[in-house]
Amino acid sequence: MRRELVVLENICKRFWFTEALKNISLSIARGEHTLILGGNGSGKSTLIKIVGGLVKPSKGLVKVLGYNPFKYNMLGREVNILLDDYSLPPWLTGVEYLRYIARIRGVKRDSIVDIAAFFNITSYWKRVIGVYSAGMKKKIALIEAFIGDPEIIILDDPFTALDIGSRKRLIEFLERKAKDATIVVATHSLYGIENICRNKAILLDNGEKIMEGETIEVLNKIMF
Amino acid sequence: MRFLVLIGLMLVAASLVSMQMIRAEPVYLGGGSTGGPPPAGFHGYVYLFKNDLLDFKYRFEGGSEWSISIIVERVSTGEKWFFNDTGFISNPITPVFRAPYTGLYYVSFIINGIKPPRTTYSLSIQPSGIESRYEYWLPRLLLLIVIGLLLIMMGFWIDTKWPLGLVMVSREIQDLWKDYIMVIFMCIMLYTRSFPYTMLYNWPVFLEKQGLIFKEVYLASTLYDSCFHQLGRLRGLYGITIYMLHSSIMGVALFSYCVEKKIFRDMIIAGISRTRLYLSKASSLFILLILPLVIPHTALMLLADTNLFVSKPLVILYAVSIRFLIDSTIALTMFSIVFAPALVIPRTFLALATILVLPYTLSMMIDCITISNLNTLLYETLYGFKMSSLILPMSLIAFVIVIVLGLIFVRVKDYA
Repeated sequence: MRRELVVLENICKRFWFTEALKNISLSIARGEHTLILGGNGSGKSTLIKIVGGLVKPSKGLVKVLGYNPFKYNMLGREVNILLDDYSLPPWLTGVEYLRYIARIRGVKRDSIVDIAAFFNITSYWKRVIGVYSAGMKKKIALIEAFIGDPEIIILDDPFTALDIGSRKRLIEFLERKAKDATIVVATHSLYGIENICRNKAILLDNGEKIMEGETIEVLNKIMF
Repeated sequence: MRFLVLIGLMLVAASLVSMQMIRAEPVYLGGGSTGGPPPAGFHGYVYLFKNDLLDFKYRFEGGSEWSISIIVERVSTGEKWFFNDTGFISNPITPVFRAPYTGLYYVSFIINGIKPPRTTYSLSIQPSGIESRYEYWLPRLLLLIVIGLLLIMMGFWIDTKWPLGLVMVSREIQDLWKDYIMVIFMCIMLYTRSFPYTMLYNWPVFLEKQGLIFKEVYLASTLYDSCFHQLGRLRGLYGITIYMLHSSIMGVALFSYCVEKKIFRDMIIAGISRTRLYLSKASSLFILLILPLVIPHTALMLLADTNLFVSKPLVILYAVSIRFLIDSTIALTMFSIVFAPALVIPRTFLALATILVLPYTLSMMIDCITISNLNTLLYETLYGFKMSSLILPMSLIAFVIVIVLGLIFVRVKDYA
């Protein structure tokens, strides 16, 4: 039986004089790994923030796991999210920060060690985040999105700042995670993510949904 | 770490610079000129540093034979010094007591057998100027202790199994360590030209009520007043300004600044509820506001007369409790003033508004709190007393209102 995890109906979002999203409707079922495609400024990040309950839509209905995300905060428990404009406390070490996140989410602090080793951050995670490169920070933020046992993992632009090896590891990790959680990725670069989020893709342009369908179909239409 | 050590060294250097400017001034305890007999004597507690002189001066014009009796008792040990003398009108009375130890003394000065047409008298402390240096550098040293405590709070609570609420407060404080050190550093620099703890005392208001149920309150009040009296020569304008700056920066940094920097939002993403995050930030701000007041004040009183701490702990406890109450009032008031605008106004505007408005607001507030010190006559009237006693409940009400408003605000905002 199809169980809808995310339901958006006629979502509009206006920031002052800019209409970021125009009448977007979307549903994502359990296990329906989804790709949100679009160029810069197409509204991907705003859409993700609305699903996460971080930005209120100007109009429309949002349900995540059957609840209104603005009334019931599911972040860090049922829904893990990585934003493109994340920020990390520069005065904490990577390990301190990740342990802190694990603590908040009620996860055993040792459980982060495996993920950290997988993403190759253990060599520097005892240094303060302030001295990390953009790629190092990105890995910390990614690991944060994987801590816990969420039903939905939403990643906004996960490949930016990562080197080739790290991108491959991320894809590999997402393949594993896709068995337990529903993955939603917003990106404008693919790097093989289309093989994981193969169930559904939507294409946004200038705040409007211009295409929706199976990922391979949408990609074919875009490319040819 | 090297950066912190450097800051510490600079703080110590700033303290040393200020010590060069110390000039001990006499403390006038009482006196005047009356037609007829003088007051029958003086009974009360005074706080003296070692080698300070307690200087009695009496002069009578016309009258008969007089006799005086002076008893000075060291409160903490019960050690007593006696002085008795008799004489005639033409001899002015000028006995001097040199304090053998630093601490609280009970002084009883009794005059008998005179009926002069006119009396001129005074009682004052002539500071030795040596020991008083102690009280000038001590607050600065204590400020360093405050910083040390903060560093401990920041460093050790994050990665522990302590309750999550405590860990969150620690993290919020950690977010601000740079701002905090900057403010403290600024405080130290400006204190070199001012007296830091002058602004915040209000014993008589509490004496009125508490004295009825706790007789030694006058002793505690002397201890308290004495600790801050030497520092309290100026009105502490710099102190007020610095405290205001500190509060504003902390308030803005915790709320407005964090929204801009999205730290607030990222904590929500991490899985902390808005309410919990908000309350941990509010608690952190309150701690940051009260720490610079409470720690030096408490330590000053505890260190003032260590013997007294052992022999009369209730007195110390009382003095510290009252001090804490006053400090809490000030912190709550400041919290209420700073917090509400910090939530809604962008940082730049808030900073501007703070600079323009808060000095006036705060000086009015301080005038109310210390009304008895500013205007004895006004204090004598019930009006003055009522004004002062309203400060605490008003602060509490304002505090609760802004907390509730803030909570509503973060719940309805787009994000954070």
